[in-house]
Amino acid sequence: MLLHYVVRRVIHLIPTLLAVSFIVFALVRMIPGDPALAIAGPEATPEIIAEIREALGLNRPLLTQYAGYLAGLLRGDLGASIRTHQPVWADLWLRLPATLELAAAGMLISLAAGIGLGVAAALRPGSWTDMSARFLSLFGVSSPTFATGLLFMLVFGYYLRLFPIAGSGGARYLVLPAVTAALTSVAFLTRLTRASLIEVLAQDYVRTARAKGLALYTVVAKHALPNAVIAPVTVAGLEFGRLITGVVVLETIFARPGIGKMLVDAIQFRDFPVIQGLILVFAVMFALVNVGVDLAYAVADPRIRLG
Amino acid sequence: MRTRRTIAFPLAALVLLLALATTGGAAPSGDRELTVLVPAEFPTLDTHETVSGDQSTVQYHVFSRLYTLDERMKPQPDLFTSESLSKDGTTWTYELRPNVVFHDGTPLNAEAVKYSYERMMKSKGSQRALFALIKEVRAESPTRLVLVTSAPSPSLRNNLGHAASGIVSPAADRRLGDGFGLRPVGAGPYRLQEWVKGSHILLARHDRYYGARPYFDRILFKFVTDATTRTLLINTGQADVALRVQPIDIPRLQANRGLRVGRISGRNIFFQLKTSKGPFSDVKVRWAANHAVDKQAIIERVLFGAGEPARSLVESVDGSTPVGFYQYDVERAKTLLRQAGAEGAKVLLLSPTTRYQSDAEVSQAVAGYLRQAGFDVQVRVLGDWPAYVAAVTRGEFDLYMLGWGGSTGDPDNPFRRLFHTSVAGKLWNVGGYRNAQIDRLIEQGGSEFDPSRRAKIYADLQRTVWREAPWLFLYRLSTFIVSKAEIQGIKVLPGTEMPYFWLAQR
Repeated sequence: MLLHYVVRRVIHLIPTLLAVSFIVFALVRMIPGDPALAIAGPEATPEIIAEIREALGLNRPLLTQYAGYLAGLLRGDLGASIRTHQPVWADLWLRLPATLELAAAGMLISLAAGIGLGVAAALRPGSWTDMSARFLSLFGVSSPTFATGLLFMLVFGYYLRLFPIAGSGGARYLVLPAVTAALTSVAFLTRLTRASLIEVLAQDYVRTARAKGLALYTVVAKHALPNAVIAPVTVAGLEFGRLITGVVVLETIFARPGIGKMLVDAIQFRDFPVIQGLILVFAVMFALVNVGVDLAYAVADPRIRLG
Repeated sequence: MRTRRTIAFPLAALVLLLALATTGGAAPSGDRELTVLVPAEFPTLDTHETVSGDQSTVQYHVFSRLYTLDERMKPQPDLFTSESLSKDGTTWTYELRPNVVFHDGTPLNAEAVKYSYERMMKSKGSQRALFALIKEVRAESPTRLVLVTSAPSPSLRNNLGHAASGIVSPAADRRLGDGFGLRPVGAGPYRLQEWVKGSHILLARHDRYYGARPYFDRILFKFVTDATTRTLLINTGQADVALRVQPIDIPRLQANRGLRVGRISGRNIFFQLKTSKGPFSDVKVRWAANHAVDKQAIIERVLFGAGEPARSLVESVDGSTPVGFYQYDVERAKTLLRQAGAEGAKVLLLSPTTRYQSDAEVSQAVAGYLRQAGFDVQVRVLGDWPAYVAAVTRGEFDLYMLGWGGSTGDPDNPFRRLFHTSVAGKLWNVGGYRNAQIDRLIEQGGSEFDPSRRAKIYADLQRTVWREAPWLFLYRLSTFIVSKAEIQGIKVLPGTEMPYFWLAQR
């Protein structure tokens, strides 16, 4: 049953990803600016630029170019970078771990902290804990990633010297960017968990459970929370998209060698195959996380039937 | 109390994560390693595909060339021991240093130089133009190299000292094919040890280098795009050198006694005016624009001091000489505009963003000054460089911002590319400046070997162009290189704002 469901969901991804691939393909070609110019450099002569265009096949009709690209995709070939002449996969493969590491750490922190703080806040509405959690989440939603990133870098890296300012090489380097990446999501998840847990705690069955003499902890953990986390978990799937976009900025600020930074560089050089490949990978990651979220529903709430 | 337990788990998890995080890491550092913070990564280190200054810096260490440029952009002999030029100025004969080896142990001889130059001439590389005048390369013996040019070419020495003119190992190039750019093999003072994309490039000393043995065993070029991050890293001693530190951070870094702040006078920034049609086809309107703008105020308030008012066209090239200054004088600008009957002339100002220091901000300031003098200015700021160049190429401007440093140090290339009639309406004379006298001076200078006669030709050229004002002249931009105070001997090429470190020591 479950396997059947997973397979079906994955098959459903195919048209979505095809659409993404076409939109990205067309969009990168619609950005003004020519890869030949970027390759040739500021001092190049017009003749050299024209030659490079020809060699890259940029003069061919858009649909012809897309057909070629699609044929490659079906063979699992993302094409070759027009700057390094290396397969897009080769670079992607080397740089994906740094991004996955950051995205996963960010996601873990936002789930743990978001749900934890939300529960704490919901249990004692109006208490000191609740107020701090709400303040923290307000701070989180209102601060853009690039600003908090620099702020954390300044406070924890520069003044307190608790963590490296920037770079990569072990978990120490991961803390500041991961916490920064998680912050906005923590904020949303806290507010959402708090609201839905308060609602669930007002339900009759919770009162019944308490009346039976069960400890608050047992009631919350076994009865209330599974019902209350559905909404936060759904949002967490969508938040993953935000997290990924945040990663693009954070990798630049924190000088991490991930695919976000690779994307920024590729856009600057108008390296079409690399841009296409990376966005497709981002789309696949986002889609898979959301399939995972759907599965998590079933685990959290048996009433939800997969089918 | 019971609530505490519910938050206890996530909090404990966080604390654990932080604790784990603080124990790992700490890179072991060997002796004599130089860490350099570089703003921008580049796709390839192939010497024949040189585009950026940061890329040139690394290439300059990995490859050696016939000439190496010094801090005044003058070519100094590198791979040869003697040089002679035929009477007609077209045949160059070099006696190469014997026993030079590439990083892979193969010999660097006349055949290897021939291979490299022919590879360059066949390549799609942007810098192929540097070799345009070379007609023939002959290896007459392992150490005797002959170059024949199609016309006398005094700029050849500078061209062969450019970062794009490195000598590649033919054996490695044949073996690696397209992969050569990622694992380049040259005969320079350092060899590539490791390139982790997005993170760093590590160079190690080439132990069989023919020149003086470099002090540093390794040079670590770390890519740190964000300027604030570079400032924080250098200010906490986590790097030895930081390139292109933003001007606003300079006072703070100057207060740090452990650091030295170096100012590099680099490229000239200007607006090229559309002289082929529209308001700027009238020289009086061009003068008006030049008098309308307070260059000094822009340098102080917008650039935070990172520049000097321009006194000529492209001031980092050999033969540049101060030829004038358009005083800030609004009344004079208004009068000139009135005389030209161009009061309220509509002009479209095109500006890049994040290409040059504070470019879009400077453009807004210039637009403000032009409005005060009576121009009706519309400002258009383009997203990034390729988009900007596309708009420039289509001619959608009356004035557009451009910077030029002159990457070879020779005046021939910039002047030919910026003012010659043959490129009028094309990059980079899109403004369409035409002047037969200037064309003649460019041709003469391009083939004049006598230094004093050549200097006079280019001085004439600069004076004439300055008077005719096909540009709105602004300033010569400064960039800042910050290093630990105990590091000596960093060399910088002003034309590309590019440092090199094989003569540096602690």
